[in-house]
Order: sequence, then structure tokens, then C-alpha cells
Amino acid sequence: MTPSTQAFWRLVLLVAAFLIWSLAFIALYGVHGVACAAGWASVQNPWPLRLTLIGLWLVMTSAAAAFALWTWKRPIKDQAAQGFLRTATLAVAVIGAVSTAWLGAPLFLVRVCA
Amino acid sequence: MTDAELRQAPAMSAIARHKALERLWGTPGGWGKLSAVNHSTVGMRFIITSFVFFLIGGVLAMLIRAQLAGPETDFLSAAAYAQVFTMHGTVMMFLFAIPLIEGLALYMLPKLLGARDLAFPRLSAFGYWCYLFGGSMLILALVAGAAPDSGWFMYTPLSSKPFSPGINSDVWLVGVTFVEVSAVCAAVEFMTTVLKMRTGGMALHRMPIMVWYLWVTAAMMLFGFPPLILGSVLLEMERAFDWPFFDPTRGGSPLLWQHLFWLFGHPEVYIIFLPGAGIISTILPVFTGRKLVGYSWIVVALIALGFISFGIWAHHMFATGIPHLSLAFFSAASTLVVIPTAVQIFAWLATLLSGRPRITLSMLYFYGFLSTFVIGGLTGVMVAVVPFDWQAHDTHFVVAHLHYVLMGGFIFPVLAAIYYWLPHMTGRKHLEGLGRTAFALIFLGFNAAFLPMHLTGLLGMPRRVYTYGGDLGWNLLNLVSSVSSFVLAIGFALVVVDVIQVARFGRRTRRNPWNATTLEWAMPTPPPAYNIGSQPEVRDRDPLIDDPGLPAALARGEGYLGEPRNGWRETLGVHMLTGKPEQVVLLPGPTFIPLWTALATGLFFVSFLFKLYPISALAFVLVVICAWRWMWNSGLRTDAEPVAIGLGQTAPLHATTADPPTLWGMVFTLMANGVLFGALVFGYLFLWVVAPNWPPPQLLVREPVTPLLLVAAAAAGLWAVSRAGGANARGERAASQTALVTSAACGLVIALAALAVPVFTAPSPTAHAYGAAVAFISGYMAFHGLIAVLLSAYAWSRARGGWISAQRRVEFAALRLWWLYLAAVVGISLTLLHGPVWFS
Ligand code: HEM
Ligand SMILES: [Cu+2]
Repeated sequence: MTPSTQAFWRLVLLVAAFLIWSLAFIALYGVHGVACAAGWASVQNPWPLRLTLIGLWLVMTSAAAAFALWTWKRPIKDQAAQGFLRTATLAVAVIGAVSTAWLGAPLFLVRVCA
Repeated sequence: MTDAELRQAPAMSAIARHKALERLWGTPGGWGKLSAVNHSTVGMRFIITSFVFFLIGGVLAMLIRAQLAGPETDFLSAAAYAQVFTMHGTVMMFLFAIPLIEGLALYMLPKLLGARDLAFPRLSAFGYWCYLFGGSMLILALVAGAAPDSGWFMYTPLSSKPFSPGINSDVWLVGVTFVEVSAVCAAVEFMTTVLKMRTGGMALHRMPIMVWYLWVTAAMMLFGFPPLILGSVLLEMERAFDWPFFDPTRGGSPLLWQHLFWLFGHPEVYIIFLPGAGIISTILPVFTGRKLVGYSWIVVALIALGFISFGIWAHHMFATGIPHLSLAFFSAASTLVVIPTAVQIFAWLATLLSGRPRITLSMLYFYGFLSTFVIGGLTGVMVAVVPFDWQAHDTHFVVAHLHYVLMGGFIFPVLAAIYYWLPHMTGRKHLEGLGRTAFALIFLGFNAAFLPMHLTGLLGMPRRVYTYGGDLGWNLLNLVSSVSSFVLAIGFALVVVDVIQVARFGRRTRRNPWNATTLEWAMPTPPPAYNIGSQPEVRDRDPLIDDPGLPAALARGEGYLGEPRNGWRETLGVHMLTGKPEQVVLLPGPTFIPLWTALATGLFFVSFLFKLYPISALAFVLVVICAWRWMWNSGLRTDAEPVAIGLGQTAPLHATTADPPTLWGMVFTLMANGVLFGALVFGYLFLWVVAPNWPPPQLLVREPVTPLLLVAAAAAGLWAVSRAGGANARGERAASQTALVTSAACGLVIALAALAVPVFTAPSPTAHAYGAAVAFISGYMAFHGLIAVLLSAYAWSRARGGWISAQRRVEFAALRLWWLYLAAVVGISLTLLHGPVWFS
């Protein structure tokens, strides 16, 4: 990896938490849509789907939380931009984790496939 | 090296340097003006052109208001009214707001970064021509009475063939796509520029806040526009060739259009709002004499906003009967998006309260922005509540909300920016009197015009309806609206007069009349073509506070690249994170090739519009030839050692490094392309899920030969390109060239095998949306295989012509990226095409 590609991936890390968020969004929205349309779940028989979605949501949220924890623990390498970059990455990670968790709220409030 | 050598007296005087650089970076006169690639010139053209379109959009708005001034007016017919409001929306969004943002970024970005130009100057010029030609197509259609009339979001089935048989909708689809091309070009260019082309020492945290805003905006454009381009292409395919993507009777779905449109459309709102907010974050510190509070928080908020704003597209579709839980996900994301916006508002208020605000015109527009935007935000929260939306949906309440957000979030900040940067752009200062009158007319006129629309909306007045009965109690409110919108228009006219007279006759002013702190104010005013005599090494986010003598020192050449040489247009390429100078980027000078390429592209679009498909094919060939010529002239014929860059440092020329800007341009182009493909995948899955009996089992493609061929060719192509690069690095030129030939052959196999699917095995694309989707995906693969052939052939000729060596090797890296992308496309496409077989 050239130093430039390395720097590029470092920037990807800056937004990684929201990549997880996007993945969670797509997964929840997609699985729900497919399951209802394909008839794997319905208003009468919501629990298998609801549990699957909750499971997905837990996985995604834990991934985001784990990532936040990892950025927190990551050793500091000395580089001019590191102070800012570290703080910003951590902040984005925490906010991303909270946002991912927040996406799950409707799972407990709204009926599936209705 | 000693200190004396570091700060050695430069060889030429500031005046001589100015003259030499101006000669190098300037644009020729006469017809040569059409060859301009300089970012200030092209940026200014963008800005002025966008204001011309604003004028047109404004005249259309006046027609709307004249028609709605009283009940049962017969000034415009229903059909004419449909064209007028559609074109008003389309012009304002696609031909005014977005291009103005592009123009502003083109013009300001290098200056804010302390650079001399953008990463791909010819791409800037190409983007401008695409914009101009595409926009002109729409306006010509309007003049000819054949303008689009299905609303600015072109909902199907209204916009599809049976309901809009004329050419009107085609004009929209083709014209807007043409303009979109320019937006994607701009996005690629801005992404690369901010990443690589800053001045020395400008680490990420030293970038002016405006740069962060524009960067996030560019990223959103890169990801937001491709779904719309895809949607437009699909709809045009349906209209032109009867491929029924959106026709529910043949396995399509009109909702697919809505998804693709709003996948773009909601981020679009933020694409327009973010630069406006960036302007606010830029001018507030200057006019309060206080550094921006919460820089890092704003950056974090912007990143969050960039992502979350994509997760809310469906909130425009609350009334379409999507399952409640799906909508609830969008509602969850919609509530989330409030937080980053609030962070910015708090940062602004904190800056305002802790500083000493000066009342200037820009600040008046700031206050106008704040009050208007807050109202727009509140009504936005109201329509985000699903039950309320069902009530207000498609009434003038929505029109009011929309304009509060757009005027507040965009027009007011832009006016603030005009008055803020006018001294920089013209070297002259305005008188406040006329400007204040204009502000008063705009502010009062706007509120008096649009506040009443909330009421007419709540009283049930539908949008997009050309007239109303006199007994509904809407008369007075509408009259007030109409009269006030003319007051508003007079306000805008005054601004235009004011700006022109300042540019012509204004009093000359000193370099930095506002005591601003960012690098554009270190440049001579009006800015010369080369921007800056030498590029500074910055140590602070506000270099001009740090060192008030900086502008003079830079003009004396006491920075990077202060000595013009070899007729080169030089600017620094830096490390993405730290801003340490890494390379000298040599930029191309004036050339007509962007114009020719844009003309060829235009020929393609126009011939397509008039169904002259052989000419479209010819135009495509012309585009390829132009692109080839375009790329051919960059790079170096011989290897080169690192050169001195001033301040006692040396750096290699970009063509001799592992990652010249071109490579990042390729990365971002592929990202945009990937989003387009992703939207295609989404569309395929969406139809599969939503349309009943999809795909019809009897139509399924079941055939093992082409998948095997495709996979084998993709693998072989990947292998060939890495072998070509490896052999080149070892100096085995013949082996490298042979591998390139193999790579071209593999591309050809992919193109042919992919084409065989729709031609021989798939159902007819006109019979069912499944057939159309298979044909489209195969066509996408074939097209990318063809490009792989062309890129391989190009690299091969470059290698033969001596443009490639172990040191000058970007062609291989770019080709490898292309192959990686192509291989992924092949894998995903095959899974999509053959997946339904496994499920059936
Ligand atoms: C100059 C002052 C303006 C006035 C008086 C005005 C007036 C109007 C009116 C009355 C409508 C509703 C037409 C209807 O639904 O029957 C409308 C629609 C619209 N306006 Fe404006 N407008 C102005 C400026 C702008 C600006 C600056 C933008 C965007 C940057 C904009 C974007 C739109 C859009 C997107 C629509 C929706 C068009 C559609 O329904 O397809 N307008 N405008
Ligand atoms: Cu929206």
C-alpha cells in the first residue's frame, strides 16, 4: 500500500461508522420489504420477521458500538492531522453508533407488513 | 540547507513574476476565449449563466403568480400552466441552484485552498459546455412550446408515453441528464481537488470550514445524481423503445421512478442547503470578529448529515401506501437529521453572541436567512409528521414550505456571499444604500408572498392547478401573494443593477476590506488567472491572522512554486491528511478539446431526442475519439527527477508518482458509476419484490455458456492487467504490451458475451419489465467491457509511444481499477440474472 492509499483508507475510517449505519438501514428496510412481499411474514404471523429484524439490528448496533470502542482504544500515531482526525473519527463513531441504535426504535413500536 | 538559502531572495521582482505567471495561466482573447480552462474564468461563466437561468425561472414564477392573482383568470391555459410550473421548478433546481453551487465551488475552491487551479481544468470546461448546451435545449423547447409539463419530478405514469405522447417529457429527460453529466464531472473534480491539491501544510483541520462544506456537498452530488441519471435513462428507454420498466401492466412499477427520483431528490435539498450553510459559517466569524465556535463539531455534523440525508428519500412518498414499518425507518432517519442541523445553528448563535456583529449587507442577509429558514424548518417538521402530510400533501402549504427552505437556505446565503466576495471578485466595494433597499424589498416581498400560501394551502388550495373558483375564500390571500411576489422580483432586479454598477464603477478598495482570514484574501483583487504568486506553507486555520504580511511575501515569491519555469502551469499536490507537499502537478493550458467533446456529447443527446439513432452511434464514436485525444496530451515523454519547489524542498512531477490526481479522478468516477449500478441493482430487486409474478417463470433465462465465458474473461482480464503492470515495473516492455493486448481481448469477450444474453436467450425487452431489466443489465456489462477494450488499447498505444515507463505508470493503475470494477459488475450481474432461477 502506498502512503497515499493508506491516507485514503484513513479517511474511509473517518466515515466508517456511517457506512455501518447505511448498511443497517439498507438491511432493515430491504429484509422487511422482501419478507412482506414474498409472503414470508404477514400481519397475522409477524414474529419470525420481527425477531429477524431485531437480530439484524442488534448485530449492526453492536458492530457500530464495537467500532466506536476500537477507535477509542486505538493507539495514537504521531502525525500532524492525528489530533483532529482522532477526535473527529471518535465523535463520528459514537454518533454513528447512537444513530444505528435509533434506527431500531420502530421495530418495537410499529407492526410489520401493515 | 541553510536558513539563508531557505529564504533566499527570489530571482524576479513581484511585477515581473505577476507578468510571467499571467502569461502562463491566462486565456487567449477572441475565439480563444472558448478554449478557457482556468477555474476563475469557467467558474465565473457558470455563475453568470446560472443567474441568467434564475432570471428565466423568475419570469416563469411571475407568470404563475399573474395567473393565480385572481380566480378564474384565463391568462394561461391549463396546458400552458403545466409547462410553466414544470419549467419553473426544473430551471430553478437543475439550471440555477446546482450550477450556481458548482460555479461558486469552481471559482472559490482553489482560492480557499491556496492552490492555483482545480485538479482537472479541462473537465471544468467540459462541464460548463454540457451545462450550457443541456440548459439551452430546455429553454429552446420552452420557447417552441414543447417544454416538459409533468411537474419537476416527472412522476410516471403521467410522464410516460400513453399520458405524455409529445416530445415534452423527452426534452426533460435528455436535457436534464445532459446537465447532470456536468454535475457529476464537477463532483469528481471537487473530491479530487480537496483531497490532493491544497497548499503546503494545509492539514485536514486547517482547511477553511467552507472547504468541508463543499467537500461534503461534492460527495453528496457524487452519490445523489447517479440514481436520477439512471432513472432518466430507464424512463427514456421506456418512452423511446417501449421497455416497460414503469408500466404495471407489463411487470414494471411507477413507484420505481419515485424511489429513484427521491433517492436523488432528498439529498438534493441538502446539496443546495449545505453550501448556503457553508457561506454562513464563513461570513459569521468575519463579521463578528470571532473565530467560528465548534469547527470540529460542524465537521462531524456535516459527515453525519451527508449520510443521513440519503436515508430519508421515501419521506416524499408517505402518501403512496408503502408498509408502515418501512415508512417508520424513514421517519426515524428524518428525526435524526434534525440534530446535525441544530449543531450548526447552535454554533452560529454561539459565534454571534460571543462576538461583536457588524451590520453589513451580508449580515442582513444572514438575519434574513435565519428567520426564514427557521420557519421553513418548522413547517418541514409539520409535513414530516405522517398524518399531517396526508392533509397538506399537494397543497400550497407545501409550496410555501419549499420556498421558505429554498429561499432561506439558499437564496439569502447566496446574496450574502455575493456581497461578501464582491470586493474579492471585482476589487471594488459596493455602497450599502441601494443594497439595503434591495434587501428590504426581497425580505418583505418574500414573506408577504409566501406566508399567505400556508393559509391557502390549509384552506385546501391544491398546487399545480391553474385556476380556482371565486367562492372559496382564497381570493384576497392570492392577490396579496401575487402583488408581493412582484415586489420580491423588483428586489432581485435591484441586486442585479447594484452588482453590475459595482463591477463597473465601484470605488476601488484595498485587498481585504473585511479583515477576513482565509487565503482567497491573500490574492490580488480582482484575482489574477494564476491566483497566487507563490503558495504558502500554512500553520494555522486562519493564515492571515497569523501573518498579516503573508500576501506581500507570497507576491514576492517567498512560498512554494514562486519561480515560473518551462512554461509549466504548476500547483502543489499534497498528502491528504497532513498537507505535506508530495508532488508538483502540471496542469493543462487552454484547449478546445472540452468544447469538441461537449459538442459531440450534445450531438448524441440531440440525435437521441429526435430518434436519429444512427447519428447517435456516430456521435458516440466522436466522443470516444475526443476523449482519446483529450487524455493523450497529458503526461510526460521522458522520466524526470524531483524538482525544486521553493522553501528548500523538492518534489516529483505528478506523472512520475504512484498516485497522480488522475488516479483519484478514476476512483471517484468509479464510485459514481458504482452508485448508478447500485441503483440498478435496487431497481431490479425492487421490481422482483413489488411486481406480482416477477419474473414470470416461463421467461427465466437459463443458460450456462455466457456466465462461464463472462467469469473466465473477467478473471483473465484481471490477471492480464496485473501482469502488464508488473512487467512494466520490471522493464519488460514487450511482455507488458502483450498483456495489454490480452486485457483488450478479455474486454471484448465480455462485451460480446454480455450482448449475447439479450439477443439470443432473454425474453424480448418490450414484452415484460424482466426482459427489459435483463437487457439493460447485460448492456451495462457490455458497455463496460467495451470501455475496458478502449482503455487497454489506449494504454497499449501510450506504451508504444514512449509515454509509459517504470516510473510513469498511471495507465496501469487506472486500468486495474477499471478491471476490478468490471469484475465486480460481472459477478453481481450474473447473480442477479441467474438468482431468480435458484428461487424458482
Ligand atoms: C422568485 C420568486 C419565486 C416565486 C414567486 C415562486 C413561485 C412559485 C409558485 C407559486 C409555485 C407553485 C406552482 C403550482 O404548484 O401551481 C412554485 C413552484 C416551485 N418553485 Fe418557485 N417561486 C420562486 C422562486 C423559486 C426558487 C428560487 C426555487 C428554487 C431554487 C423555486 C423552486 C420551485 C419548485 C421546485 C416548484 C415546484 C414545481 C412543481 O410543482 O413541479 N422557486 N414556485
Ligand atoms: Cu426530502
